[in-house]
Amino acid sequence: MQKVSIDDVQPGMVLATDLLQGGRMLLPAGSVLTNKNLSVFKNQGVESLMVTASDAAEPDEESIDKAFIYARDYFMFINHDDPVVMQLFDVAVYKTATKIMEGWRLPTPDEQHLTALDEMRDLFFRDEGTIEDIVDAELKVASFPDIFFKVKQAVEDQKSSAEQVAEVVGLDVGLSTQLLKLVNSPLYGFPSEINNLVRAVALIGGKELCTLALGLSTIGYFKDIPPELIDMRSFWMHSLTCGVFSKVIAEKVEGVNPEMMFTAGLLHDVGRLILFKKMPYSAVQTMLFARENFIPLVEAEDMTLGFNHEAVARCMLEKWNFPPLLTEIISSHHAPGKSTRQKEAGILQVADNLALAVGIAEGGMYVLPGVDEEIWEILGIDAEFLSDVVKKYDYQIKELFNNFFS
Amino acid sequence: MSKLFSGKGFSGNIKITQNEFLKLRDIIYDLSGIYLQDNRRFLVENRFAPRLSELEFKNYSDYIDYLQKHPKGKTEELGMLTELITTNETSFFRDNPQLKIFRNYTLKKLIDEGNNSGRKEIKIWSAGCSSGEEPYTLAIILHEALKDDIQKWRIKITANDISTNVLKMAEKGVYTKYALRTTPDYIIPKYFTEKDNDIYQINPEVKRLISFGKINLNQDFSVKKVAPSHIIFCRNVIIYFDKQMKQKVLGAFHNNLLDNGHLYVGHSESLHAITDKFKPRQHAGTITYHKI
Repeated sequence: MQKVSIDDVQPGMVLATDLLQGGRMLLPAGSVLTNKNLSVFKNQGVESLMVTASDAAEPDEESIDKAFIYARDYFMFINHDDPVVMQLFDVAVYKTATKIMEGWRLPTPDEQHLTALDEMRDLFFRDEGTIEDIVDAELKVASFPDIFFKVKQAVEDQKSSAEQVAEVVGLDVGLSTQLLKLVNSPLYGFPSEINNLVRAVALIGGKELCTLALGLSTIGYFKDIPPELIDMRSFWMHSLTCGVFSKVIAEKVEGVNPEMMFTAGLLHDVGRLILFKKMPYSAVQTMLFARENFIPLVEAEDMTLGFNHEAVARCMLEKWNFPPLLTEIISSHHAPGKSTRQKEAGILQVADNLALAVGIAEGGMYVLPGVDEEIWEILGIDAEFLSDVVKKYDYQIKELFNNFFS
Repeated sequence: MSKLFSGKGFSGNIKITQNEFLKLRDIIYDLSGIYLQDNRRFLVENRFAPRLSELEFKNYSDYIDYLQKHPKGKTEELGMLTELITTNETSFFRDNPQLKIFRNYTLKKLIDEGNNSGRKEIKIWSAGCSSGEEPYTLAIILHEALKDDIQKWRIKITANDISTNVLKMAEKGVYTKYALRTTPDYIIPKYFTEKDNDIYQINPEVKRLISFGKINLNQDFSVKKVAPSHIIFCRNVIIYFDKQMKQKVLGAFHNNLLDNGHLYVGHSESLHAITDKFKPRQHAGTITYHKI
């Protein structure tokens, strides 16, 4: 943590303590500072800010050693002979070491474990029901917000004009605000502010904007998951990170739609959320099993449930009549080699692993499931590109997250 | 950033080749019935490295030779091995819904029958007892259920594991506060003595009910030596086995159980499509399997 004069504060720095003025909270600790924040603070006479030591000294030997040992356990299921994969490891060690330098205390094994809750009831005992039973039970009790179907229709209708698309999305004020925040984020890097949906459609494309809207409107569907089951903040942080990485990688790969990949990344683990709703006891047991054995979550699901979140997502998304391409990508991210959309599912798999690697330094709990060997060749991306992605987008993800979820 | 930390020797100095991994996997399966999936290669390399250094082996081929040919290979070393590849993570009173059913249903029935017939005997087998939390928990539940009457009952809990190491810990009966994280508060001062800050010793009257011993569930002769039981607990063990080995072990449990005996497995383990020798019965939050 360091005190920095307001004139020296750069956008992207993180506020270390709550910023108060006359007892009024201007901005809570942990917020990523934006240009807008800074000009407001200057107007209000704020002279200096406490920011986290983001540009702290390079991690020292000791913190690298600690981070090395800590991160290593997360990389037991990936090919150590592959230089691209090992770059992920380096990213994880570096980030973790930096956090240690900033004073982060590594979680002890005890803290990394979860405690099961007694009073949870699953829809059925193992092998006594099917994935379809889970999805049907879910569909019976909860319905999607209307906006979802309207947006979906607009996605599928080739003839929608920019105005029509904007009109549909504009029906939901919250959604429109989120979309505008997204297209105004550095992720898009437009030189001037886009302040209405019609302009956003013109710049990004109607279908693309609708795909983004589809992803964002799905988030709202899962608001009611009990917080004691799963830390939803970390869940969506991982999902958003995966979405951003998917989009950025997609921009490098020919013939892939980056907006589609953002939404796929954002929603890649929805199957897990359905499991939390309908099979809460088993879902927690699965997390325990994955943690205790240090195995990838998807494998723990197969062992404890007899199926995994990918298959649940496929069934659910099909019943929701999700665009078939998105459904295929989301439900193949653990086995892209077998998918009809190898490129897209492969991007998602890489982004998922990258997001997990980055998440280690944030207290992430799950080991990397690994990347299918042939994917690197199909995508044509290399180690250097991946570490660049992390370097460039890490801060932006935090800012985006605060926009969407706070 | 890119300094390739991975160059620091990711898994120690001894690398396992694919061929050695496959050999080791087959040996582990033949000896213990535990099946290692293909993606466990680096995990094995990482977890076994300290053990190989300890034994002063330079490569995995020497270790494989040791396992196959050395007298200790198939016994002590196998225990070490399984400890490295399976988890020993457990706690007292783990899976409370299941233990509630054990107390209010299976145990109650046995106690009622014993009181009626005058044959006051309860025999339980904890197959895969790890560091002892499960059998001690069962013994505590018996104390709680029978109270002073427990003196009039013949109770035996046979607690087995494949690993000598964890059995030593179990016999010692000393635990940290962490092992008690799922234990009801009133139980702790009643059955444990706090020896040191956050270090607890299980009391002798609990320990007395249990006899610990080493077992390999893949060896018929050692399984047959276990005295017939009213109840078998085997939680989070068969999850490591393939279907064939599961069938074998469940067959052995069927033989061991007395008539109307009950089997308890882990929450995520199911006998569905594996054996029809047990009849499942559903309760709130758990299933009991009854010998047919």
